[in-house]
Amino acid sequence: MFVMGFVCGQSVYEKSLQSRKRFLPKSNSFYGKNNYFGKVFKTSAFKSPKKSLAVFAVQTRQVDNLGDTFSQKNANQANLTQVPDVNGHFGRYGGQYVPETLFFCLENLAKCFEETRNDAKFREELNLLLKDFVGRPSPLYFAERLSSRYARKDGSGPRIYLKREDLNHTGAHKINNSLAQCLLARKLGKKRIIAETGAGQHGVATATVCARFGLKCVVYMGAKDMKRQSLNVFRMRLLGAEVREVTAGTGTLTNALSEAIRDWVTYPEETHYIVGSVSGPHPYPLIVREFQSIIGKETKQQAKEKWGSSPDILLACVGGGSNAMGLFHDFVDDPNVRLIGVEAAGEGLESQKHAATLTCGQLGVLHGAMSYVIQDEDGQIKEVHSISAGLDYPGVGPEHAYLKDTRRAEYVAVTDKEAIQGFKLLSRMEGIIPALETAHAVAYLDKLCPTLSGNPNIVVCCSGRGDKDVHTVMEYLKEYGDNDIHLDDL
Amino acid sequence: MSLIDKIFQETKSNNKIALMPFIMAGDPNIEITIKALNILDKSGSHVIELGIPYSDPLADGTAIQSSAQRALNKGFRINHLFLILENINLSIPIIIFCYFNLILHYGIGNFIYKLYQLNVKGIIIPDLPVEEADEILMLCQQYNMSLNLLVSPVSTESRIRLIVKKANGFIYLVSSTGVTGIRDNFSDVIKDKIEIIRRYSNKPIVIGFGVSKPSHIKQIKAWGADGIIIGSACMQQISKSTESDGLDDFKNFINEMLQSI
Repeated sequence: MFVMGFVCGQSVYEKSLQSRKRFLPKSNSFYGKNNYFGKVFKTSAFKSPKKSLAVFAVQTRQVDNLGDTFSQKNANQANLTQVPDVNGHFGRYGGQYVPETLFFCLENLAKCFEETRNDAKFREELNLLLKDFVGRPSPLYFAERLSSRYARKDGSGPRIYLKREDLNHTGAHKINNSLAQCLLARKLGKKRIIAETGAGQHGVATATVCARFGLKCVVYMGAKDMKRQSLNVFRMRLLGAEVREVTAGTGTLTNALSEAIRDWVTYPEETHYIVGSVSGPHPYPLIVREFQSIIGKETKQQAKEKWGSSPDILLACVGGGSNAMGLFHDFVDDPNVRLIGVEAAGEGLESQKHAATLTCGQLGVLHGAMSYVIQDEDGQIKEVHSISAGLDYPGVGPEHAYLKDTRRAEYVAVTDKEAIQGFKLLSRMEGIIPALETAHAVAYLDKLCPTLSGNPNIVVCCSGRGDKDVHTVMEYLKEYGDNDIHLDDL
Repeated sequence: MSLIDKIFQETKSNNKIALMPFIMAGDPNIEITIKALNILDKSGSHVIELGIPYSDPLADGTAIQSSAQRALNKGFRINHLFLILENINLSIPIIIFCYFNLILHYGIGNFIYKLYQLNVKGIIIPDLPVEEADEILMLCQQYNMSLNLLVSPVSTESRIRLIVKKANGFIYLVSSTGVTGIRDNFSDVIKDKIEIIRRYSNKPIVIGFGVSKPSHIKQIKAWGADGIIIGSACMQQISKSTESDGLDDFKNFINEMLQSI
């Protein structure tokens, strides 16, 4: 079925290319890019005969098949750090695919952001709050026992550090963005804040800063997510936020996002929408990246202090992609730093029950931006699945799509089962219970580390703490059995 | 002059405004959609707006959202839309209401060409802003189809200028902020917006979102618009019908509306 869908999509796509060529004889670069797309799909997981190997197959194969003129041309042309352009495009991704009413808000927001981002007073206030209210800077912690798991016989091996975003107030990186956007909202004169949330971390962070600034707060959350993250629902309500249940569709993050956008279209004048990820229409991918980039800035500084240079590898989970983008951003222009994003493979890439958008998605438009989207052969958005509510999303931030296509970053996927192992591993070996989202990044270490040589410094973004997920993990282990992890089972 | 322009001119010279009912393809099923299209054709409506069900309709309220969801749950595919269009023979023009991702996925050039082959006269894409519309606009011009762009009550004058300049069909003026769905009354802002649009263009202005009563139509007509789109109210009538009844409620509803234009 999946393969069928792809084959269908491919042929339609090629037909479309032909017709475009006919209609648009001048815009060479445009269908050049499309062609590239066609190739990506041909060579990525879809064509891989053994889907179970897809995660690795994608990486190696793409490089083999695509080491062609386009990518070289692209690498020369693309200035990776100078995106997005004024209309919010990262290459062909991004943009503003929203109902006309929202332009009123987006234009004002973009203007306000441009005026504010380098304003000394704004920076000063934000930095003070980040220090005293959030508790920044977050430590860069050397995970000694976890590193020893991957040590070779001669004692050499990767050195693993955790960027401890889980130690922030409210327990995740989300508050960096919510806090800064709240200051923006105040500047815009908006009294009402809305937000969407999947795992509830963004909702809690937003409810927290709204309480701090005395703003009215409405959080949209899918019915299924409210159930699996009930602790966070209660936290938001304690903080004075109104949590609105979204029953449409699968009752997950994507439906919550749609509903939040509908709310915003209805009350554009008094409301500010705090998008929680680097997704959505321009200027959100830019704004959220800017406010999350403190993760990477601090990491750069701390790495210099600890070992005198930048990290060799950065590893972060990707749902919409805000913690990954925050960590990556300051290193994008340094080609010596390998960037790896880890997506949710759910019950396996071949099962169709996954949320690995960059690995398996196709070009599409979702929630106001062009990016990779998990969709069926008609272009209808598909249901996705991940054990982690924060990764359970059929889209991904447009800049990640761009980093993938320019091959500046690599994207891989790990399954629910592997994530649970990662969850237990970090708990057991470092005394840190990570969020299930974070556990995806941790789980990938088992695959990554055996392929490395020397003593590379790896920074894993420990994006959130796992209290909220303890219940989910308990249920999972009840259903699938609690096979103990083997500490030396590599 | 295009067929749709002619229709607007004709209604205007008769001191009327154009009635443009919206129906969602495939809800409650394809047979009823075809039946409803034929009813509209005979009723004296002027243009039909046919919606393609989409899984993630950002600009739509609950009525049209659930209408699309019902159609998709019954297995509606985009090929069914083409099937419907192939199997009807109407005297009034059809325009298509479709979210951008479906078009992008089908291939923009292919999609527009397909609609052209099926005698569709225009298209409305609620999530395609004027900034991203150039490619589709060019294709529409090539096939003599109208790309009807939307203006919102909070659109600034400079944006309105840009939009009306680019649109090559009518201007779809959204009655108020928010999503589609029935409303009690309309704000005077619409009157001002109509004046601003008129300052820059004499393209027809059509009001949509929330129109459901004869009193709405009278008001909109008095403000000087050229047409109205009725969506959610139509779908409420249609979605409760079954195959056996003759869509009588729907027929009566349309007739009631027609009397107020």
